[in-house]
Amino acid sequence: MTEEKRRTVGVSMWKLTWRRFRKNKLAMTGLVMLLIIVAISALAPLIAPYSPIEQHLEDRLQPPSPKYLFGTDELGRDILSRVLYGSRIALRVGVLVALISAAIGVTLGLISGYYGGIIDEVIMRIVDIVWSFPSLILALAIVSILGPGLINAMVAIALTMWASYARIVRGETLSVREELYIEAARAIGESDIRILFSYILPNVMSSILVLITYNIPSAIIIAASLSFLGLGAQPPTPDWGLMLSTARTYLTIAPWYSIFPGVAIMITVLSFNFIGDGLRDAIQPERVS
Amino acid sequence: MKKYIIRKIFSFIICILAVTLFSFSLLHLIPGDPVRYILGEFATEEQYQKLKHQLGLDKPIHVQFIDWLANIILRGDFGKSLVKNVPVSELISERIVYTLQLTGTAWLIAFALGIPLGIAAAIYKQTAVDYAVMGLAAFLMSMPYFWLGLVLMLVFGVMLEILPISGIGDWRNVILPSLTLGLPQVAVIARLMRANMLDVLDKDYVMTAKAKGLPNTLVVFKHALRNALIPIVTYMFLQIPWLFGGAVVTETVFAWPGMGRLLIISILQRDYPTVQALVFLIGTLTVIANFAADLVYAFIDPRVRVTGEGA
Repeated sequence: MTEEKRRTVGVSMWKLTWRRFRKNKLAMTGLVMLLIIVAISALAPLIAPYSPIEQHLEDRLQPPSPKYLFGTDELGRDILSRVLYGSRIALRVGVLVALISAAIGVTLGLISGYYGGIIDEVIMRIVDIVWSFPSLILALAIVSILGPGLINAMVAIALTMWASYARIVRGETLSVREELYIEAARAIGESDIRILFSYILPNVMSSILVLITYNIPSAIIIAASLSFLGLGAQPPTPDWGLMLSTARTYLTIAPWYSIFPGVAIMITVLSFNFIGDGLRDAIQPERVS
Repeated sequence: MKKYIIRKIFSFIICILAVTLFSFSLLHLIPGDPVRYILGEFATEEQYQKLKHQLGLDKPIHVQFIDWLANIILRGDFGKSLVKNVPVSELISERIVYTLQLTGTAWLIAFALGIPLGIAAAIYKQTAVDYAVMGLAAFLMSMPYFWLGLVLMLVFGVMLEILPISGIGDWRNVILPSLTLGLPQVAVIARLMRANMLDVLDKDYVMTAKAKGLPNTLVVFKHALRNALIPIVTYMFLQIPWLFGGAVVTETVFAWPGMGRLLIISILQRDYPTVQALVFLIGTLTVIANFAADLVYAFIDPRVRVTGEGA
């Protein structure tokens, strides 16, 4: 037995993953960053110096100062407060979209892999198309049907992101479908639904988790892009993409306005990406080069 | 090989059909009455009937579909814009050049910078070079296009005042938008190239080449590079549709009069014939690019050529 094997006898897979994850500096940095962002969004009303929509018309487009640490926007709203509140929207959008698309993709992937045949063929062709289509263009097409707005944008993004889940889950389902314990489950008369969700799904949970961690930042970026284009969150929502869309107009006279919401997006996305990389390496240690 | 190609042609046809059906359905999938939705609440009955007729919604749905498709295939006619009162094809052909100029330049930047950076990171693995390239890549990949664009504008346009901020003009106007579109791709390609290179450098035949005393440069550039480049060549095609996706945002940031900007304006103005045409064109392009990638992959990778089994 190798050293690692000896130390890991009887330890659950998740504990093992956490052990490896903990040793990864970048991943732990990502986790700490994310915890801070979550704390900010939870405590926004306590730590924000002003209301995110309160206008101070006498203080329009003020540069950063002790009174307004990140400066003010075109309506005299405090940019710091708006950036802090914006984390709530970004996290909510990212997590909800990733979960909805995971639910769609996992279900279709399980069905596709388990039943095979013509059902599999049809689902996989749809997956091919959705998967190769640039997400933003597909999301835009769906928003053109549903109309602009944050909720519609979230639905549209979820509908563009499910394909990778379906692919992975289908592949893993195919490989475990013929295992003995599935056959045993069938023999004792378990229903298909139960076999799919309580026998096969646990096998693919770790891959799904990694994918969700990567999809949250993508969803945040696409949602912010839609808001920037005027098709997502609408004023006066303190959305980072929407703020940058206005900031663009005032780029030459209020450069600070373009900086802070963008840094917020970048830090949030970066934290998820670091965690995703760490999680992937911890779950599949043989892939680490 | 033959089986592989037949399978890919089959999937190509299905995908083209799906894209066609989807773009056609955009108008019909609008919840409620599309004509009402486009005109708003205060339209007169006369306006209502006129638009319904113009969009062909007064005919049975299969007739609408055949008309729509036949006009595109036979005459390149996508109908009339609801806003500008000119044919959609005219609107698009005015703008397509600008989009091609932007995406083409970005595409060149992406490979011209991404490949050498990736190779350097792989050769100097776990040194300052590697960490610098990978660190930069992580940052670039975490910036949305529109913010990267704003930052570049701020640095080169507002602070240094050496490049124009937006609009079209001479070659200097192309630099910032194409960097905005190209730099995140540089990051993706550098990472991909590094991973491939490390993968190949670990292979037995590279070990053999080294063991028989070939100079390191020759091993890297002759034996390793050729195989490491295979996935990159495929990616050159796969990436094209995504550049068009990025162009939508980039064109909006830089007030660049291309197809992406047109798509956004058309969605906001509910100009459905234009939206349908653009989704159809970009969708078709996506399918063609993927098909080309599949073929090129089969052609350059001997493993696929012989066994017909592709990853």
